[in-house]
Amino acid sequence: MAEDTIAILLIWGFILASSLGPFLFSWVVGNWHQKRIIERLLEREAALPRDNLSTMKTPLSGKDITGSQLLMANVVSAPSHWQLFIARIKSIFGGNIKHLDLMLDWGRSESLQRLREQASELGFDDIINLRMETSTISMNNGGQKKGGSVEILAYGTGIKYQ
Amino acid sequence: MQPPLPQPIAQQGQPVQPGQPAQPVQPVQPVQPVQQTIQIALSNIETIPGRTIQQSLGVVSGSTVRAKHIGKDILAGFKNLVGGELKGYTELLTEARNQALERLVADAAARGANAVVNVRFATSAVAGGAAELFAYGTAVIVV
Repeated sequence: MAEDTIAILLIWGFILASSLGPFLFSWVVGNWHQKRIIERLLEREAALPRDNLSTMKTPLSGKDITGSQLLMANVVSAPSHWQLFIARIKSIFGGNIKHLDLMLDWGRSESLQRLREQASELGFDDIINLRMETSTISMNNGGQKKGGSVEILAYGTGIKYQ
Repeated sequence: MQPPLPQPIAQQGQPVQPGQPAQPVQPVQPVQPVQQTIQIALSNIETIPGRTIQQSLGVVSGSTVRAKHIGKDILAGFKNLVGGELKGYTELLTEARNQALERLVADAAARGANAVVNVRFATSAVAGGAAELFAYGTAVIVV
């Protein structure tokens, strides 16, 4: 009898671990990963001396422009399974979903930061007429749609002064 | 000093003036591939800074539809456990957008333009896990 109960416990334990395991893993590792990428992004943002992005069509400093080029940067940012799970539960009651806020906020800031770094690497002083665009990426996983991934594109015209 | 912009292609291939004497036969120059001769300035604003627009040649566009292969989808599913950036998709979309831009540039070159201003991008999800990337702008001749 004792062997039977052990076997039943093992089977139930396996079923529970295989169903809840990914969620627990995604909860622990996903939160850690998100904190880490946000910290890294903040460090990179602090490293640049000034913000060289602007949404205006003409630069505020009235200097002569000698060169220009179209620049763009993009990020595909996806929520973890845990965040999607929480979002599904919260969407029953409605209201603000903080987890997805964080994910999208990180994606936007990351694409802007990539554009800034690209501009300073290529030797451009400023970026004018910055535009941002967001689109959902549909993932077709065996006929079953898994959503939540978002592509964020930032583009603008890099300019060089004399 | 501003770097010289390439002359519009429509003006490059002008026939020899009838009044000029016949040129002596010269050795045949190797034909350069088209990609190297096309240098088209792109910008996001109404002008190319520091230059003036001489003529507008209409709207040019380039688009491409891309789908991920199923291996990438499965890998992305694993990455979704953790969340964050899906690098495979980022690279794929960058490549696809560059291809759309190349097509836009080819369209502009075929019309004889040397710049495209006010370039915009649009992205839309097509059924079946594919995405359409679209770029459009106004082809112009600048001097």
